[in-house]
Amino acid sequence: MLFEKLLFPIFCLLLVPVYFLGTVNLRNPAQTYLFVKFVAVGMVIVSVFLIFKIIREHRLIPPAERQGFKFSPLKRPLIFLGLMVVYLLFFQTLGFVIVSGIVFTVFMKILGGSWPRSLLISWGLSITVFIIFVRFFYVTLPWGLLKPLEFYLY
Amino acid sequence: MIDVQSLVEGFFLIFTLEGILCLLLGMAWGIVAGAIPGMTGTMATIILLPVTFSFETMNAMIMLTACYVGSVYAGSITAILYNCPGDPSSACTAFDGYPMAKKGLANEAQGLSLSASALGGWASYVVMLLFMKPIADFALRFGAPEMFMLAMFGMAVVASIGSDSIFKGVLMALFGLLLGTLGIAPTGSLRGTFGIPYLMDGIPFVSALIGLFAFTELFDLITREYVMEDDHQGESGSVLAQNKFTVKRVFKGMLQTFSYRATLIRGWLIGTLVGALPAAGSSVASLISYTQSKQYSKNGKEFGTGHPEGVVASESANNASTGGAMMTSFTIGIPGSATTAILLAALMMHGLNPGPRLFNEHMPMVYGLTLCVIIGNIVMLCEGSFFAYLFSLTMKIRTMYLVPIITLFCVIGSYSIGATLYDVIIMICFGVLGVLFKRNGYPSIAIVLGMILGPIADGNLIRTAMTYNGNFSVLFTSPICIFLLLLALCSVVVPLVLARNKTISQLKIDD
Repeated sequence: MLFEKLLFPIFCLLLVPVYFLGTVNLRNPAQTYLFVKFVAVGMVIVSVFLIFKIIREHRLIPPAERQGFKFSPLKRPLIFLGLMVVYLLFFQTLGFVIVSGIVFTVFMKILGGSWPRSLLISWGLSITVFIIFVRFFYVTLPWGLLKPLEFYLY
Repeated sequence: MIDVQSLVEGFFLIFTLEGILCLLLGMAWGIVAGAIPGMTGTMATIILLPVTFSFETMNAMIMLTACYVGSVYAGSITAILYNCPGDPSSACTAFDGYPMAKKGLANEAQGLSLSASALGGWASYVVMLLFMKPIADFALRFGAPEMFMLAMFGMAVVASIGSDSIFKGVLMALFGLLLGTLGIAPTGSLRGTFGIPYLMDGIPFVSALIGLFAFTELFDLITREYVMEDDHQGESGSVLAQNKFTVKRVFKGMLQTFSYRATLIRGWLIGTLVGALPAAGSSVASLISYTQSKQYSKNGKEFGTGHPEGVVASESANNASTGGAMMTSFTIGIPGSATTAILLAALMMHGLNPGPRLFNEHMPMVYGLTLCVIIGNIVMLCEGSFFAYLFSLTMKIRTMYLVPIITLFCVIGSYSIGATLYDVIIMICFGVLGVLFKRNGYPSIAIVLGMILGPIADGNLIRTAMTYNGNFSVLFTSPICIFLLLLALCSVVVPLVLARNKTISQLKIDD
């Protein structure tokens, strides 16, 4: 797909003015932008070159051989991404264990897992990993709704 | 060449109960994770990263380094048994390893792979042990202009190696450099933060790394039902029946490695040299060694049909590359691969600054780590045989169960850095970006290197401007700068010329 191929060079091309518009402050010393200017100029040149190169290569492909957009291969990744967004939204409020348990149960169920196995694996995994990392590796993870139980783990 | 006192101190640093346990566990995890197709060595090391946060620096580094070394070898286990490399660096091993397995010689192939990996690794660590001090001492002579040019050389190599199109590599490297400049500039001013407080420290490097190399792979894994495709499952049954695991035959394969001494030495040399180049990594080393051995060996024509020499060529190089990669990482602070970038990130998280000073200030630690990987290779021989046996029993894992497990570790790894949701968001954003890059042939490693080298280049360019009153002619007059500049130009121009020649000869063949 031409659009997908062009996406990153166009993104880079737009990033350069946005980066500068949002950050240039005349009170800053001149050296602040020395290296950034060097990189930005390079990015603009390479992006423009790549855009032309991609378009030229695309035109060389016969229309019959050009790949169109297909949704089916993206179905599973999009479900996963959607669930990850839900995961992020409730991560702090529900807490690591609850949100992981729920989201991964739903994930396994959607992909064809059985209820008992999905529930067992996702909740078992979430609780075990949480206890190991919080109790033994001293990693801070959000407790969320389980905050009252914090006392029992230490 | 070697600081004996530091070497002895390093020896005692690793010989603690915790150190040995970290070595055994790190190696075991590296072998298991590295052997699972879809889980690369980089991913295995990333998953282990949050586990080591609470460890002492030395133990954390032992565990991560052992995992790295183990994972590079382990890709060969499933490459031989199922024609499904656990790690991209073992792709060439499958060319001859799998045909050997189909002939009923899987055990011999496993033995060849184990001993070639261990011997290649050992030889490269000896080089590392001998040359680390001279390289680090030489790097100490580098001033700001030389460090800037070194960073530019690193970027030029990265851009030229990691992609089918050099311009894609260059754009990715520039994008990484720009990301590396976000946050507080060396002058004290803010750049690119848009008033967002989270961005003041720049993009969290570890989150970006986890996103690009672990989370991205999940999108690929999830499109499959099983970790290994159905056709391999079908074949594996017959292969397993022919290749019942026996230690005697594995040992026979190990001894057979010594019949291919020239290939072994070639693989070691190529692996160590390629590994030392920024971002070249074990996959490139293995591929070059395999093609070179095919060209120069008298058995070259039999490569690809199940010849033991093919396995030796690939495996000796990919493990030798780990020594080269670690040598440049610990002496000049430029990672040789994505996994060594994680090792450097781990050092930063433990309060150490990678760069020329790291070696001189923490010499016993670096020597200790080198000794650790030398010993780790002996451990690998034992653990590798054991896990090769286990993997020969079953490899049917459904992705729907594996993906949540890896996701949890990715989330923990990124969240635990700053205990903010922002780190997890960055990880997911980079994961999605990584999918886009992967689908369109953009090398993600260039971004990572850009993020590491960006601040180095930026700070040293500013320092050069201040020291020489804005006169940059020193960049083109210092002998070291000129040498590095020429190397950088060569590394960009040579691949372009080679690609052009290849296209011309292809056109001639087509005509």
